[in-house]
Amino acid sequence: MERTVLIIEDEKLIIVSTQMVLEAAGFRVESATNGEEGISKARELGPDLVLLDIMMPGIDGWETLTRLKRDASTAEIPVIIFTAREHSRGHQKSTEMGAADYFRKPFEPDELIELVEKHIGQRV
Amino acid sequence: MAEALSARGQVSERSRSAAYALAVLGSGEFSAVVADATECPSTLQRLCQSASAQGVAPFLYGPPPGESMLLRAFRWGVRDFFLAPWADAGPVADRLDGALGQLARERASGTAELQVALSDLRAEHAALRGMVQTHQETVDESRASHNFDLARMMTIIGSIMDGIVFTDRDGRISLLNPVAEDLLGVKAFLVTGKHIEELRGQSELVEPLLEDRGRASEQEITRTIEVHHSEQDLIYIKTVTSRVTDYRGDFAGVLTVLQDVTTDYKSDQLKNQYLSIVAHELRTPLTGIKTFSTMMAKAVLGDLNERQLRAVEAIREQSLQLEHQIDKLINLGYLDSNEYGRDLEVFDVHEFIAAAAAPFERPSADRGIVFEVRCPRDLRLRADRADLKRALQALIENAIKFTPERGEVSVLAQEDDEHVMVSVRDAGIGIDPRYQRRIFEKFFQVEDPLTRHHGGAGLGLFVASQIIKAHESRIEVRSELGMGAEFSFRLPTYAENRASAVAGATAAPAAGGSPRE
Repeated sequence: MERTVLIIEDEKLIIVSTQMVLEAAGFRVESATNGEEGISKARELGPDLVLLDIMMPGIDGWETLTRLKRDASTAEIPVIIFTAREHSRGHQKSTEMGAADYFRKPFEPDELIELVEKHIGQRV
Repeated sequence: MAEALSARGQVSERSRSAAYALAVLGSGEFSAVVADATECPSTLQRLCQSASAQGVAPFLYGPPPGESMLLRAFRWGVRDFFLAPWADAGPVADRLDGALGQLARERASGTAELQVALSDLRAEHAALRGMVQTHQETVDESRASHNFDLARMMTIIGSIMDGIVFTDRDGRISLLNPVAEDLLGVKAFLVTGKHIEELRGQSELVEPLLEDRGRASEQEITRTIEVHHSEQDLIYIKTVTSRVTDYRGDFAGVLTVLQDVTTDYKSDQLKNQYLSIVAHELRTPLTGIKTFSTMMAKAVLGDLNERQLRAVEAIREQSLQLEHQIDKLINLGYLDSNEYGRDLEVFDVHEFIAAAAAPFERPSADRGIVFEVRCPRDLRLRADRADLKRALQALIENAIKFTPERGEVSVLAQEDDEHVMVSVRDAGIGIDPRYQRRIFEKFFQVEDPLTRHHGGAGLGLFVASQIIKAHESRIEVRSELGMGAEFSFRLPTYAENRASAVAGATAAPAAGGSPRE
């Protein structure tokens, strides 16, 4: 069964490179470039995992995460936060808010694959 | 029998008994009375004492007296004792005359002495009066100047920009300046003399003040408190609380200085926000470079010829370098942060060590340094991963910096009694024992031409030690001059069953994550 990862990220470059890494590892990848679009794609496609950026125009990653967790149709999808910013206690904050993990950019491609493997399909 | 005698030895009257003599004493015509020592002692006592009191000199005569008799007689004021028999009055009269003469002289000189003493006393009294007067003037003057000083001091205290609260030994407010009034939202004239506890609920500052008051000792306590101010939205107050002792060294009260640091705080926040954005701006393109070059180097995107592969590997290595430099730049912004070691997560030590060491592979290889990294698998830690990476990288960077070309640097992690022990060893110039504690001080650099040659800001080890300290551990140093150095720290191993109770809300990743090769 093909496993789908939804990337919500405003930087095209990150989408392309991340997509390349995940596709090489056998995942199907969908993407959205802002929070609103991400939420509607998550509802529509029901991905097995969401990779979520924090700093995005419009609603940011935290708000997107809150909405995903509030909506019964998306609440169980594991979400991995990945960010290039420094967040005070970002890891704790994200797990408290219901994210499955927290990941820093730039990342090692292998680590990303490993992390996605670990959480994918583990409905929360 | 008693005989009353006038001066000059003349017996002026003879009485038949001491009792009679006692009765006629008060007439004023006698200067002496001579009494029979064998008479009733109590009557004799009354006669002698009464005579002395009225200025009549008492004398006794009789058989040789015992010692106790003489003592008693002189205690009654008797001037002399004449031996009986009382037959020949001549020598007695002479002795009596002599005794009376001496008495008169004594009295006269006594009076003179008294007069001298009295005049001395008067002079002294006058002098004292003068002194009292002068003293009073001084007191008035110093009181005036004291009042002036006090007024001046109150003006100064009133006009300084910091709030000042002084509570006495019992916790009563004895001083509160206008800035403190404003910050606490109270009026000094209403609360002075009241116990500070009575201000509870008046301001968010009171509770911390009370807390610090209880803890205040020789060392001052500093903290920053977030306060909802009536006119502004949020202000940040830095408080410095210290014990005050009087000139004897006894506890006199507690002084708290309140400083509005809202501007500093906000600019600090802005700085962090700015750094965070810079980090984002730099790391985003770097993510692309790192990812693409890694994918290409792994031939995921197709085979490369050897030269292409070398070029792509160089790009990847450079991107790791750049990532490390960005991390260091960002870290500068978090130097005074109390946030070290707070973002706890569970992670694999093998992966962690490999990622932290990766940026140093190329630079050490370039200098011919053998860089060895060893770590067993399936070891996990629960710690602040980003901070711990900073700490470990500072140690590695330091080790490489001080290792000469073709030297050796090794990073080792091992399990030791339910702890993970991480050590970084180098074969460099070593650290003089007298500097081994000081190297963890902020901006400290061993004053050695070699060191200066090596550059650096003197922050790496300081930050590293702060981070390890925040994890309730410490960095140990073992080194000898010329023999290299070893820096190590120990953190408790994370165990799943133990952690589920401890970790609580923190996601403890399920076992079975495939370890990276």
